[in-house]
Amino acid sequence: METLHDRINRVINTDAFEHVLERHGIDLIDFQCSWSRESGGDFGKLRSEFQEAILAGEDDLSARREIALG
Amino acid sequence: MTGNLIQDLSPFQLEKKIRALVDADHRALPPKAKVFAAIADLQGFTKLPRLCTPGEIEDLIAAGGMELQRGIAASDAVPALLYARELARGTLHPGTKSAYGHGIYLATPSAVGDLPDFPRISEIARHYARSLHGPGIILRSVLRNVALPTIGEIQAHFREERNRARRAGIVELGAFAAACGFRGYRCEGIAPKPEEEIVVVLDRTALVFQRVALQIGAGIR
Repeated sequence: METLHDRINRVINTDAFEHVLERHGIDLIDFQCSWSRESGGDFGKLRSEFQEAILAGEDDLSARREIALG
Repeated sequence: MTGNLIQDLSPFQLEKKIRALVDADHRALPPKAKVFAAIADLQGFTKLPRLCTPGEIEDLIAAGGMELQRGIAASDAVPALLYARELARGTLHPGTKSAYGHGIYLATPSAVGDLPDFPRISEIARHYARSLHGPGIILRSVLRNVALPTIGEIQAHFREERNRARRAGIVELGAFAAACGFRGYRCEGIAPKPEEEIVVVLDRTALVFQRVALQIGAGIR
């Protein structure tokens, strides 16, 4: 089963993930320092802005795959 | 020579040095990974680590060194052993996974191993060595004489230096910590074994790797 750590690693370099953090005025470094302590590895315990960023990154990756399939 | 680049240089000077190295780096890497690689180079963190025997590793642990292990999985086209050799003996790869920042991710072992050269095993390393593409590798190492701040302490530094870091183009944790002169930092453990500690090592020369690695069997597709 994919861990929260793995989910974050998949999306952290996507533009969509970064844009959500920027929109909320959150530095990437603050995200990297905080996500684990705040969540204990449970996505549902992350603050809403972090959840939004991860989900946006995952949507971004899904969209790319759909384009690749033509 | 390692220093606090954030304080020793103006943001303009630091940004210029980083940009020169990034522009000369033609590897297919995300921009933030190249920034980390540039700072690691400026700090002298990219030189080769020492290799030693299992007996020497045990001596280093007995003398107070911290045992750390790294699990490396095979990918579709590359055996895990190639990645392992690059980590211990090749050009430093900054990595692309950065949930805790760029750097070399290792974990403290928590389980009893059943091999003389691996008396302890990290369950996190074992987890990340598994793959359907081929056998994985666990590397054993010792971290010596390195003060390890916590990720929270690094965050506190960032809050003081936020503006200087931003103006130098440093936006992610591993690059910031390396620029401050830290050689590594401690993070909370992760699944499957949160009790094990994750250490992100920024200075590869702070590690001594055991020459004998452990091979983990591949999964069945």
